[in-house]
Amino acid sequence: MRRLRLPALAAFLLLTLLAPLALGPFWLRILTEILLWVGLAVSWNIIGGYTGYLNFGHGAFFGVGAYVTAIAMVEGGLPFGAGLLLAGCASAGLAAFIGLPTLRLRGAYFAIATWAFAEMIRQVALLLEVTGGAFGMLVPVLLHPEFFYYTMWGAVAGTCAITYGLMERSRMGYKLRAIREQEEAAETLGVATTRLKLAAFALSATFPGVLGGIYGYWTTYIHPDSVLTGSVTDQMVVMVLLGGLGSAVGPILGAVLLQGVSRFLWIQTEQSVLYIIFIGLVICVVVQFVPDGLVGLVARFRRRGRRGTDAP
Amino acid sequence: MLLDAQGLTKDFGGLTAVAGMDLAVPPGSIVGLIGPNGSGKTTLFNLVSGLLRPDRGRVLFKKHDVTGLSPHRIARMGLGRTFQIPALFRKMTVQENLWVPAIDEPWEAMRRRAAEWLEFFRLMPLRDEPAEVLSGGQQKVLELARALMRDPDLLLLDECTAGVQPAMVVELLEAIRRLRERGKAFVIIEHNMDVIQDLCEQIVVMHEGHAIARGDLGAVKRDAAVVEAYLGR
Repeated sequence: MRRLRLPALAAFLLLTLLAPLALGPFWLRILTEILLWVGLAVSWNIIGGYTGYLNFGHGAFFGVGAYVTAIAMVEGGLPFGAGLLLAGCASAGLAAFIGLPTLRLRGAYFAIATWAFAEMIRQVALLLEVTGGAFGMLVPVLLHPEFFYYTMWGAVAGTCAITYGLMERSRMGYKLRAIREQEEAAETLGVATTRLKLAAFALSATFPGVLGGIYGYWTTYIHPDSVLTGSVTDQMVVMVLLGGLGSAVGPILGAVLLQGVSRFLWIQTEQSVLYIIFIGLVICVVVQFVPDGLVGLVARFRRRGRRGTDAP
Repeated sequence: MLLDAQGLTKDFGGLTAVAGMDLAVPPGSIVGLIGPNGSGKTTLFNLVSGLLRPDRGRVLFKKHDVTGLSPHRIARMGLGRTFQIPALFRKMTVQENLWVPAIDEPWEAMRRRAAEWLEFFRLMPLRDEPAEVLSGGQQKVLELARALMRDPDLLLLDECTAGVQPAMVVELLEAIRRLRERGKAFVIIEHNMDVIQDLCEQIVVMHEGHAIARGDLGAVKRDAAVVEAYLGR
C-alpha cells in the first residue's frame, strides 16, 4: 500500500492538472469549488488533527481573508496578489492574537471560545464602514477566468496538503502529536507547548485567509452572511470528520465527497436545503458508527482482513 | 543541594494539599517519599516540576529559583518526572514516545539513544507498536525510559514499580542504582517498602501536606508520628 502511495499521488496530480482541458465551464466550476473546500478542510486539520484542538471559528479566517483582500483592492488600490499576501498575514496574525488566550482552554471550551470569536468577527464586519456593513462589498471583476481560479485554489490547496504531509515526519509534527496525546507530559519533557500550538494555529489560519481572498475575487461580492457565516466552519469540520481527523488523505476525501454531493443535490433539485439535511445525517452517522472517519474505516477493514488470513 | 524546595504550600479551594513542605535532594542521592494516600506526595511533584504554581514557598533547582517557571523550562534545566498513571503518547509508537523529548537533537543521535534505552529496558521488540497496547508494567518502564531521553540530573518517579512484574522490578532497581552511579539523583514515591529499603539513603514521610519524619527506614519506622499517621491513634 505504501509503495502505491507515490504513483497514486502523481496520477491524482496529473489528473487534476489535465482536468480543465477536458471539462466544460460548468464542470470546471464545480471542480474549482471542490478544490476550495479541499484546501479549507486540510487547513482545519492542521490544528484539529495534529493537536486535537477543534477550532469552531476557522471560517472566520476565510471571511477575514476575503475582506482584507477586497479592502486592499478597493480601498487601497493594491493588486490582487498583494491583497492575498495581506490576507494570509492578517489571518495568521489574528490567529496568534486569538490563540494566546484560547489555546489555554481545552476540549469543548476551546471550541466554544473559537466559535464565539468567529461570531464576534461577523458582528464587527456588519458594523464597520470599510467592510460595507450589512451591504457587503463589491470586488473588481476579472472576466471569465474559470481556469485562473482553478489553478489558484489548486495551488493553495496543494500547498496546504503538502505542508500537512511534510509535517507528519517533521520535528514540529511529532511535538504537536505529543501535545494531542498528552499535553502535560509533553510539557514536562521539554516541549514548549504554548509556542507550538500558536505556531500551528497561525499556520492553519494562513490558508483559509488566502483561500478567502481568492473567493472574494471569484464571487465579486462578499457579505458577512456569505463569507463569515458559521456554516463555512461547519462544513469544514464535517468534511474532516467524515474523511478522518488527523489523517493526510481523510480531509481531501471528505471535501471531495461532501462538496460533490452538495453540487449533485443542487443540480438535481435546485435546492440547497437538502444538502443541509444531508450534512446533519452525515454528522449522526460519523459520530455513531465511524468516529475515525472513512480512512479509519478502511484501516479497520484491512486489519480485519489481515487477521483473517493469519488464522490457521 | 541539587533540589531545594522551601516551605511549599498549595491550596485547592480550602483543601490544603501541601502545607509548608521542605524537600532537599543532594546530587547523586535517592530520596524516598512515602506517606498515606492523599498526603500530598504527587502534588509536591507537580509543584516541583512546574505543573502547579505554589501559593507560597519556592523551588531552587541547581541554585536557580524555578518557582513559577513553565514545566518545559524546568525540564530543559535537567529535571525529569514520571506520572502515577503513565502519561504516554498512547497513539504514538513506543519508539516515537522516546523520540519526542530529544526531537530537537540531530535525528541520528536521537534514534541511537532511543534504541539504546529500548534495548536496555527490553522494549526493542515492541518499538513499532502503539504505546497503548503495552501492559501496565511495560508502560511504567517506557515512561521511565522516555524521561531518561533528556538525560536529566534529577528524576521524580511516581510509583515507578507499581504493576511492573517482579523480575522487571529487580532490573528497574538495578537500573536506578546504575544511573545514580552516573551522578543522577532521584526522588521516588513508593509504597513498596522493600524498594525503599533497597534504594534510599534518606526517607521523607509526608502526612497532611508536610513532612512528619526524615531519616533512614529504621528511624522512620520507629517514629511515633509515622506509626500514628499510618495506623491511626
